[in-house]
Amino acid sequence: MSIRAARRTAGIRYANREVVQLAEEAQRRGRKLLNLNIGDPNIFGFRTPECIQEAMIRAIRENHNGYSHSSGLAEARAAIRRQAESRGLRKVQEVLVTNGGSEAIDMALSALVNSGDNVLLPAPGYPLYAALLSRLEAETRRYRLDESNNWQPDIEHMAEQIDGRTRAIVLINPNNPTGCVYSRETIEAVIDLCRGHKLVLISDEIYDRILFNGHEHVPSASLADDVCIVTINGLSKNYIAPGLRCGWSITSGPAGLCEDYLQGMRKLSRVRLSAGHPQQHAIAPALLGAQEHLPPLCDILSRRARFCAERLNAIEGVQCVEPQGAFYAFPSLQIAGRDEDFVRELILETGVIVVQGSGFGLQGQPSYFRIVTLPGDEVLAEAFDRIEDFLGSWRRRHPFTEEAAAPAL
Amino acid sequence: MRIEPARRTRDMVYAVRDIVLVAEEAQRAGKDLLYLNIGDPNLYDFRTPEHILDAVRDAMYRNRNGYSHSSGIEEARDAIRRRALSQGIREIRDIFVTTGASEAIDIALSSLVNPGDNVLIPAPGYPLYSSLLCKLDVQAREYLLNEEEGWQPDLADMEARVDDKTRAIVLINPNNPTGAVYRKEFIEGVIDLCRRNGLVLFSDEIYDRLLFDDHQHVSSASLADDVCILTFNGLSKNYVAPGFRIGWCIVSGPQETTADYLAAMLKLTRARLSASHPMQYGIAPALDGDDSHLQDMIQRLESRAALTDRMMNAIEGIRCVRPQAAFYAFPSLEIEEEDEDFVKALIRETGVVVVHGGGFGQKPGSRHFRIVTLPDEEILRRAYERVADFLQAWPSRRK
Ligand SMILES: Cc1ncc(COP(=O)(O)O)c(C=O)c1O
Ligand SMILES: Cc1ncc(COP(=O)(O)O)c(C=O)c1O
Repeated sequence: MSIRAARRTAGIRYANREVVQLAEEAQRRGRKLLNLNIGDPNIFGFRTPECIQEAMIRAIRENHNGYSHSSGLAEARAAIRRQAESRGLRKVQEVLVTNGGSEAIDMALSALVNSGDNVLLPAPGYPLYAALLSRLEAETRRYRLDESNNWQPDIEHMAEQIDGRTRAIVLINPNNPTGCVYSRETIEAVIDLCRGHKLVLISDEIYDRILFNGHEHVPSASLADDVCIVTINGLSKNYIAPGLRCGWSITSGPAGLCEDYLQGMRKLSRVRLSAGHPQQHAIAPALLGAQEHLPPLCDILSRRARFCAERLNAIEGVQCVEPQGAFYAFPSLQIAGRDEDFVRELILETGVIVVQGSGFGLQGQPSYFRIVTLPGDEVLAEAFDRIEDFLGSWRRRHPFTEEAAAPAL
Repeated sequence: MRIEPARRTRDMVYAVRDIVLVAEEAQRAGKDLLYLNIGDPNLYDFRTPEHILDAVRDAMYRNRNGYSHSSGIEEARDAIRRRALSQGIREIRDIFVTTGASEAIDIALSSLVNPGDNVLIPAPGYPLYSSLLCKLDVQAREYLLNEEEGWQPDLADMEARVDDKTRAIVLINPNNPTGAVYRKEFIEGVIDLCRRNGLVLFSDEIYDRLLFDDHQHVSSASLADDVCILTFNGLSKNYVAPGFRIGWCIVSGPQETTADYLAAMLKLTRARLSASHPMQYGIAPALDGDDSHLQDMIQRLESRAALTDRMMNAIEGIRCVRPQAAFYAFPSLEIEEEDEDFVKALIRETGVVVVHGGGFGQKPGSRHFRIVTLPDEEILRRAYERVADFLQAWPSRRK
């Protein structure tokens, strides 16, 4: 007899993980692997800034190894609030420190939705959100990001998804997997929808300091003080410390509007006792420090982003919007067949590991895949050569016809 | 207008932390507070062993600051497996490392139960379980621990509560809040119940090294290889590192029984990426170390438990089963009023912070409070004297 798993886990798919299994298979077949699939700067030679490391080690030495307050260390929360206010976030009601941005997102959704409610997610978008909604037996509704408009959210399409059971809109800005940064007008339009339909805006800004070529990031919560906005951020990306699992949520808006919801989030935070304690001592030094690691980081990544876009656009049948931030690119492919099959074969044949677009909630044609732009220039160049060769052979084996190109979503 | 929170948070009460609010109030009123309420050894005279701290520091210098594998680093999982094997745990199917045992328990419950199912939890017991079940919209059914039997599980009561919607039984051994260690025949009884009803056994053994007076801990999963057993443990208690948030789950039982359930749990571990990476480097040194911190720690805990036993049982109106492990005691109160009222008044009047029995679940009509026995003897003595005086003056005791 086999133990039945809960229904809530049935819908969860994690393409990112499935490609790892394929990569293991490719390795067994003797392929030389090129990892373009993991959004973790530390495995590509980037280092956590010294000041963060030192602050955490000092905290460990000073016996900050017990549980912290459930909401987080006072000094860290004060630093987060200060930074938020200096970036223009309005009516900040609460800061909760969490085990990664992941846990902050979990709490923000778990404290909000009942089974049967729905939440609007971007397509394409980071898969954690759909996994959490599945876990909560809530419905995922996708709104389109528009490739022809620099991957900005399609506001009309977004509005069409809203109904009486919609509780929140999730905005990921800068976006994973497209690397695009949203304009002020776009964000204002999303806020208008939230205002009109009494929705919570969950604004995931975990890449907000990794920006290229003068692109500016506008925090959603700096544009309104009459809507409940939960801003997600953390040390994982901007501060190159994903393994510390240190994130937070900033809830802003009118006190009365947010209060009951916040109580729910606080209760959830108490149940799990606390976030990792020593690492919280690194938050204030990180946020209030000189940010010296950022210019070189953004420099390298922006060069790589440009290289990726140029090189990919030079491949017949590939189109890539140049990323404006973060460390991803999301090229489209003119191919016959399913993206999943293309990527499976690509990995097994060439050892280049990418993740298919359907792993980010995009179904149908055209096909997409996500690449992580963190690896060194040579690795990227080698990967694109292999992709070009492989794509040529795929297109010969599976001729591309216009009928095969049914519209996405 | 207000944003309406999810139903799952509405009925969630967490007495351990909620009592802190009353304590803050007492502090503002100028009371001298004695904290006997937080199960965090680092707040008292206990420290994380140095070699664990060194291992974490070294890991950070070696840039182990990226995400780890979702199930945890190999070296840590190997050490956990070795320890489990040495405890006699058989048919180990998998091990995954989590953000505290709390997260392991969350993942294990979330992957198992659907709305309408129920899970058996101990009364009294650590409140995380009922809160998580609340979060999942699933019924928590309390089975009684038997105070007259030194807080061993009441197997008849447990059996009576199982129905066809029951999916799992939670055993906390050594127990929080009673400090009891379960005898082998009781664990075998629980396993048999799981076997006969196709249930999963959740065995929370997070205090399994903190044993007094030669009491032995028997790991549930060492007693059966034909039942799906999840064993929870971590660094928080035995290794004095709660703030690291490092725990784990050992899944054991027959391959065909556990496969689907395990796959579901692993999906949830992937979604949240990983547990803290540098902290995981503390696991192997902890488990493979010489445990020299334990001897001293146990000695202190044992004499504090003995003092608690002695002083509590000397108070008229209080009876206390002597703790056999961990760092809690759960004395009963002979009063007419609710223990919550008693405890809140105790905090406000005397500054002694304990948690009322109702916060852990208890036999209907009974009254208790939980003491954390981590403070040193001087503080415990002062606190117990205040409790004695306060109880004497309590309305229903004066009559
Ligand atoms: C958009 C987005 N949000 C949240 C996260 C979670 O990050 P963490 O839990 O490490 O803070 C990620 C990680 O890849 C991400 O890309
Ligand atoms: C019985 C029991 N289980 C689990 C936990 C959770 O521990 P952690 O999440 O720190 O590993 C505790 C903490 O007090 C506990 O008492």
